[in-house]
Amino acid sequence: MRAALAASVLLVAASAAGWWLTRPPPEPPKVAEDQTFEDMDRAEYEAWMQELGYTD
Amino acid sequence: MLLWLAVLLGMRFGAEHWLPALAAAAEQLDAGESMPVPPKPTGLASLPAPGTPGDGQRATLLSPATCEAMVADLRDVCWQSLARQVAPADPDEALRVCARVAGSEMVLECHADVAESIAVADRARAETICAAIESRKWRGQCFFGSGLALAETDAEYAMGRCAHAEVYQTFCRHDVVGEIALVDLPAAHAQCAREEGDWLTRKTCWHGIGKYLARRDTSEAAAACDASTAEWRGTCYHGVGWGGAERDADATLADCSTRGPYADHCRHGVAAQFKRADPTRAVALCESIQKADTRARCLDFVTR
Repeated sequence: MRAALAASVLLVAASAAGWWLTRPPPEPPKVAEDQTFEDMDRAEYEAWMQELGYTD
Repeated sequence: MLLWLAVLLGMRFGAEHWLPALAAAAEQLDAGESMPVPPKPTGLASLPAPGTPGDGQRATLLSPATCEAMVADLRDVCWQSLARQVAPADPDEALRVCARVAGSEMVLECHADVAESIAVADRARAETICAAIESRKWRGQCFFGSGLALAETDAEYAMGRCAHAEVYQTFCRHDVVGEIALVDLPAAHAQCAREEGDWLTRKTCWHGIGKYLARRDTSEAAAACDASTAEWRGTCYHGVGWGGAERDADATLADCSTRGPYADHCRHGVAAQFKRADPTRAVALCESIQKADTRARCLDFVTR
């Protein structure tokens, strides 16, 4: 019984891992045509730079 | 065997679940709403300079007939490439070639490319072309490209272009200072040491130095970071990790280990670089980080 339970948990975990591996990259920020650096939220800008390898 | 089947099954259902999101993202790309990516991180440094071996080959690569003969999907790309090819000799003709591009966004990109192509030889004309672009986004890209083109020629002027790079100004400063660092590290240091702009602008300047030098040599990059403002030294070392990992992740990780209090910042940079290509390894790298706060930030980034 325990073995069956453990195996089920492992199978579910493995399926979840496979599902997670296929996830798409995060949504990019919606930069409007007339967007300026000054009016862009800093946290969002930082996240944008992080995704592209421009900051930590 | 059963576990592998489970993983594959999970991937199958995962793909089915995520495909609509991927399709939507693809539509965004077609509509020009994709994540704006700063142009050409290496600037024109990799292209042969006018008059040097290899440069003459560009003149025989494309012709209007070549582009006219292409299928519709490739024709605009061809016109754009032809415009870049022609621009150094005849910017006006290059802009006329840009006018043949069908896509509205690509026409603007074409103008920006022409400006970048001629910026070293005629910065005034490049500025005029950029200033004439009505789209704020593409005008910003244009000045960004001009800054990259002039980074190795005139550091002060090149950084000055970034003030006109609109929403890309901090990306611009990062890449231009990185290009400057490759040929004149004291000049790059001097730019970042001014500590201009807000906190994000200031720290990413140092990141640019670390990243660009690390693409060449991580020891050289680390030495440059050691001379940076103490407040942003960790960020600089993150750049070392990222840039070095683009070239040789294992060698960079080995080098990171020798960097004392900044080893973890360096490893964070390597892990971040792996986020898209190898998320499993990225997570493992984050988990190897000793400092709790750096490890937490790393894991937060690679798993989001």
